[in-house]
Amino acid sequence: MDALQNLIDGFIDFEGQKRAEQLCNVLLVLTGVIAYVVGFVLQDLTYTVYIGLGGTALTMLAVVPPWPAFKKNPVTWLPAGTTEVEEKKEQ
Amino acid sequence: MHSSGVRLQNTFGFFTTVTFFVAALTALSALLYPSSPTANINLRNVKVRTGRPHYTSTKPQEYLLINFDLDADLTSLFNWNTKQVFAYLTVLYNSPSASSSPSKYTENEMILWDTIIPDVRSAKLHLVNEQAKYKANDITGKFAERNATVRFEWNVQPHVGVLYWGSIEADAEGNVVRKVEEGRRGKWGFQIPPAWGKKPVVKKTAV
Repeated sequence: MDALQNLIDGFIDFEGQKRAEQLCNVLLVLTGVIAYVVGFVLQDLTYTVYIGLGGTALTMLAVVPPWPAFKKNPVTWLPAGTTEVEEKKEQ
Repeated sequence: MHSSGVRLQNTFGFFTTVTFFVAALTALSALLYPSSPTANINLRNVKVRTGRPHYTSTKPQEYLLINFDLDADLTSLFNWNTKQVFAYLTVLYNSPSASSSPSKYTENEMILWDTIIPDVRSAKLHLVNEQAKYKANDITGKFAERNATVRFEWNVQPHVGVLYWGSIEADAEGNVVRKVEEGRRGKWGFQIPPAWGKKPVVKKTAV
């Protein structure tokens, strides 16, 4: 059940979020350019439509699931109990 | 972009933006394809007959019957963004009536014939002695022997972008105006004849 929940949430680390965003933008812009150029050169708008939809599907496949590549830099927390000294000083 | 749901939303959102720009560029690409359609019309047989619009109608009215030849080449209207072209033949008469009582309706246009051209393979029209598709009658019921001309028009419907219209017509001297100067032949103008069995109001000038 936890595994399923993890898959649906798909949390990734901060570095992964930055890379996912960049990947999404680059792939979609590339898709748009290729779709337009291919349709224009072959003089058929159906190529533009299908390349656009296909490229978007591939982009979603690359960006949406929490791939291990997006989880390479997990946040390392401080070990528990290190703040105890400061709390005493406040009192 | 921390969870799958957010990534899905962001990707789809940016997809719509990209689609908008691709569609806008597609619509603008119409500027890259200047079109030069040609058309030649030859009116063969112009008749006016009296009839009743409906079986129960008590008042008869005049109908305009036209046979025509049409040679048109609309190939240049087709590019990657053209869905279909609607081509039609209009008859128009704006001149005052030849009879002594002028009609108050001075601008008259009627579509006689039309066709939908779905692809470039059928963009060349060649009609010989074609009959008008639609019944044509004057709003007052009488044509009053006015001078009329025909106009060939088209409407381009693109996949993305705005519709646009174009036309070829002849001026009073029979010269083809607008869009094409070459290929002025055939008969574009005529005087609407009197109805069958009626004497002409004005005598036809010798040609």
